[in-house]
Amino acid sequence: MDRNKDGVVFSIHRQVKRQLFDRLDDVQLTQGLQWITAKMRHHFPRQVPYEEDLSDKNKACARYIPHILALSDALSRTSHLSKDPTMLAQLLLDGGIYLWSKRLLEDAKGLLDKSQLMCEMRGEDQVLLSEIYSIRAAVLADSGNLVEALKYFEQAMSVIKRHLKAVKGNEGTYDQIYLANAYNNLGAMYAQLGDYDKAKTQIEVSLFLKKKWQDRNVPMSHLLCLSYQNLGNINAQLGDFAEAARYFDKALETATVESSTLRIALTYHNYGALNLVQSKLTEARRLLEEAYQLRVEALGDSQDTAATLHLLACCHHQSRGEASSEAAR
Amino acid sequence: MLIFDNAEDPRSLEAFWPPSRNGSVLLTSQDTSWVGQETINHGISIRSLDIDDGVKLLQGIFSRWKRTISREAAERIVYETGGLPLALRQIGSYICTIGTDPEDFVARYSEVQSSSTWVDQWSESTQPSYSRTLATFLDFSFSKLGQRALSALGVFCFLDVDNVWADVLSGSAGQLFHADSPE
Repeated sequence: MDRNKDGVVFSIHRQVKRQLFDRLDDVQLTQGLQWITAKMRHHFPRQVPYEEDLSDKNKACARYIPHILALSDALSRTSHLSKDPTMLAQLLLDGGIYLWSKRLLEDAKGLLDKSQLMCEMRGEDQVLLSEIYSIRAAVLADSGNLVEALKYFEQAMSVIKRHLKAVKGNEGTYDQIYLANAYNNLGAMYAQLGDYDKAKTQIEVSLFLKKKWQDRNVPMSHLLCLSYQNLGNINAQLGDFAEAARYFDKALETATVESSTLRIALTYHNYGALNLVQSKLTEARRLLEEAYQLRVEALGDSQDTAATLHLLACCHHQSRGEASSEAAR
Repeated sequence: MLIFDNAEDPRSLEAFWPPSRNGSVLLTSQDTSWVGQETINHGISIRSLDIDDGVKLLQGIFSRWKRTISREAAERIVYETGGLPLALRQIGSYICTIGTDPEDFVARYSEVQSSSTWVDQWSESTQPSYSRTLATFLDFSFSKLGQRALSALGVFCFLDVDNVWADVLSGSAGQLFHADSPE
């Protein structure tokens, strides 16, 4: 046990921890597992990728993630002891989302494997299972494994559709929003794989569902912004710059204070890139500077901030003149 | 210079091993299979503490608790544990925390002999004597704990080995460190 300015902290030798497993019976391990699951759930906030920035809502996320990883490791031998596998699945999913946001993809995959295992144990929460499949797909996509990612997005879609059929008439407000997200995710995946026609169809269905809920006064601006932006990207890839600009404008119109700052930043960035490609340098610079301001405030020095800076440099470089060259440098 | 301290098996560090041939890597591990790895140029096997060093370690622990231990009792403990530093630290801390007499402890400890446990299978490459010595001490100390204390220890099985902040354990701190028996 150590004391420092932040408080009291304990450590246990790895060998001693292993020996504890040898001595404790199932009843004692079950009690320990129950207690720590509830404790971690209390301290580690829900990570919701579709509604908010994937940033620390609580600086304590970094403090608790090693324990969630240790808990996941211990489940190799103790998963059958969990009295609330659904809560555990949700906790592991949140840990996986957090690690994904930090680009620790292998560790994220490990947590998502266990999350899926725990969720399938009772199989009662199909919405959670669909979410797990979606995040697994996102991690696979970011790892470059697009074909596997598509399979998981398709599985997420099947699960949510089956769930909605099973609860028809009694579905919760967000159940159909999950379906809208599933269509959007599939669309984004098809776009990455170059199948733009399929991508457009999926995202248009997603938009239709989201607008339906917006008309019922459910806050949807952030999700609509996402789909409009995706359609902007797809049309840009297809060379239809006018249509792409129309969708980027809609994305920015739809974005409100409730929308994710980083999503708005991404829209400005992509819209700026679109204008840069068309050599509309003044407009490109304006949009990219908006993106840069938002990113540097939200992320500081990061890959995304650097990407926007790079495009700004390209703008200045293309502008020519001494002042522009200096700005580009 | 890159240092891997208390590295587990070679597979777990594959992703972190530097590809460059420049620079040096210093690695410590209980896993002897590292010695056979191609990436390792030179290995040193660290032996257990000799009697004098073991006695010094125990006396250091006792003096931090403002207690003393006779040379004879300290030597007996070093002998029983084979000079393994972790076991010596655990035993020294245990005796001082519980407040028992070192000579009494040694007398009772000598009667406890743990055979090799299946925990050795956790780490096939760890020296068997290391696990058995620790197992013997834990058998001894666990026999003094009540059910509540054992249940509280179950929590540690699911936590990371480092940085267990007190707020993680809050709400059960009273349970965790309150053994049912006086010892």
